[in-house]
Amino acid sequence: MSKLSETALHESAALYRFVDSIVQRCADIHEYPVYTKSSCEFLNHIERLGEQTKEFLEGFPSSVGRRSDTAISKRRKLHTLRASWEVLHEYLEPALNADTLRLPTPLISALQREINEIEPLKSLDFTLFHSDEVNYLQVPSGIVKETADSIADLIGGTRFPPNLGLIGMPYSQSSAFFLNCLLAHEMAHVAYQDHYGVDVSVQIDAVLQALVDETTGMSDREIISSRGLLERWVEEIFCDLFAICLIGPAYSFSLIELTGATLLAVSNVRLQDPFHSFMEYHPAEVARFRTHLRLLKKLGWWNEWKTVRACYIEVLETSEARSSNLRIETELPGGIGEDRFKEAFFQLCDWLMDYVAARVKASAKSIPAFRAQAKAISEYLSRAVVPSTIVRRGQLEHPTSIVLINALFRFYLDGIPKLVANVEQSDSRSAVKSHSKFVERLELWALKALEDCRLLPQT
Amino acid sequence: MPVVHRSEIERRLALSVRNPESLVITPLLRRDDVLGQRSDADAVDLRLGTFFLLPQVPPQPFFFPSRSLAKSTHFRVHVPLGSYLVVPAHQTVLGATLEFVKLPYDLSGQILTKSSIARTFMVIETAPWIHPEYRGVLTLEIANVSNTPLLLYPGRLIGQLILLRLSPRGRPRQRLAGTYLAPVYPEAPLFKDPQEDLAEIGVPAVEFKFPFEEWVELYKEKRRKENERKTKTKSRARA
Repeated sequence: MSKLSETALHESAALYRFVDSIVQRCADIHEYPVYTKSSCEFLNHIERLGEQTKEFLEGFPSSVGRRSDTAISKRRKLHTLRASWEVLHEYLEPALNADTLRLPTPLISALQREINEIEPLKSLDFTLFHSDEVNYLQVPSGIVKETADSIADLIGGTRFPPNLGLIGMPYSQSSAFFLNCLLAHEMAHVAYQDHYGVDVSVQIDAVLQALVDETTGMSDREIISSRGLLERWVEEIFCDLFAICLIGPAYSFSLIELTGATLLAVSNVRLQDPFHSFMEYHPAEVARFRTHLRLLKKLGWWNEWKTVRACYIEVLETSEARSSNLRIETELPGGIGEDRFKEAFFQLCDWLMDYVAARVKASAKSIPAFRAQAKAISEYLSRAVVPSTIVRRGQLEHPTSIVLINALFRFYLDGIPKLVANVEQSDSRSAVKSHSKFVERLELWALKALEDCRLLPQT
Repeated sequence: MPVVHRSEIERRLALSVRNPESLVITPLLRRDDVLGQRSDADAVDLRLGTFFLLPQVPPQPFFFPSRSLAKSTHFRVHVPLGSYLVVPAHQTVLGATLEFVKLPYDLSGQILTKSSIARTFMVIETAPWIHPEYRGVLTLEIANVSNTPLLLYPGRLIGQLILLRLSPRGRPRQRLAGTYLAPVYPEAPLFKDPQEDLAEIGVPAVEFKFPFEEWVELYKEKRRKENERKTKTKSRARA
């Protein structure tokens, strides 16, 4: 055996062993723990791709010719293959950890059902994985989809399932309900990248062109840099607006909770705080809340919430006034004034509001039902009863998932004291512990109500 | 204690939750089958829920029913609708009903194994009594007493809820009570430490015996004597 063939054999065998260990991990799925359909689809795809890679590797040493120049290019292919599998490897264990017991499955199913009601997103599906960051994230298609497809191209294997998005959530938050409403935003990223991004891009170009026309001597590099900033900020705003149009104000409140923006409800908060800063990858939180408030008013949700006594409402309410203090912390291309750039950004936000509201109508349709049922749902919760079936005026009703999500959030913001007052064994030694215990119960009832909601005819 | 008729169950299901006489059973699926003319006149059929607690071998050589160790006896499993759980022969699991129930102040309840299930030698309850004003899913102590592994499919009918009227009716409680506040899946038992329970009836702490305590004392004594012997041997060798 020549040295060239021997090296090719050694390298193929090493990669074979590496891929085989991944395949075996995927094949370990038995009856328990149970995975969602989309997780199975993801894990099965990785397993299939692994088997195809192994098959390819078995024939690899013989395909390496005796000529050293072609052999080197073929061996490079092997290195690319290994690098791609190393990328996929990173996402496998977090997906395996996210079985149905460790996910807020009823909430995810409810969000998925609402998204699939939207015409171009009928077949969109989501695989959830656990992240060790206390953050929610969407894996850009370039990372997993394109990596998996590059492997498929190299070995002649199966391509990644279309319409399958990957979303990460903090591993510790499986039974949380209120914070997990943020998943709607991450799902929107998938919708944006697969469907709506093109339309938005055209609009960004139009706004950017006006900026370029006004500014003298902008170089191509500066134009590209400005576009990049607007693109990143606008995608975030699109996803916020999509989430609000999908599930209503509950999304805004979950963002306030995650970011700790309740600080903004304190009137003398310093203007130098990070909530007022546009960063390279994210628009300022205050700018986001301002856009949320405008959309909630436009959809008609705000009338149902403006009288609720909670600091979350105040955060949204004051965002309009606070937006005069917004700052851009990243460097702007020469010649463009900060105020003009912010103006261009808000111009895009206003356009997005109409664009998204015209396409995602789920939450707006639920406002009359929310108005009618929220009080009754609150009565059930304050008596520690799951509100998947309620009685109003002698009639049994089953609230929709969107009504439930928002009514539950409302109770979370202003109803816990009613529940505490109704229960005898509240822990009087620690108010925080006691409050936290009731929130935990409330989140369990919320997930149960959503699980029931899937089975009941909705009224 | 008269058994409550279906028509009365229907009346109470349609009452507002503010009314202390109201009954809640949710989700009540295929309502006509479980509560209509075709169903039994004195019971509501209930379905199996999707969460289970499976027994596991405790870290000690025994189960000590105390505050800290109660949770070590089970681990939780989720079996979504459409999947199944295998209960091996002569094994037990904790399950719960799919339905969340809230009883009125003047009714007690009892959950019984559905006769068709009982005929497979599956028993679902050893603590079947439900107190007035209870709320939550009903925990099922499921035991396969047959010689064959049996499959459980969440969502299938498994039990029957019988309601009984209290006599005299009593009065609604001002505040909710309960060790398990409105659970939505089976929960591990909550215990106080046994010495706390016994102290309440006057058993002094010094008289309380921890399991294997005598063995531990004997072991300690044995080790002490061994150490003494070793020390003596060493000092003799030095001398």
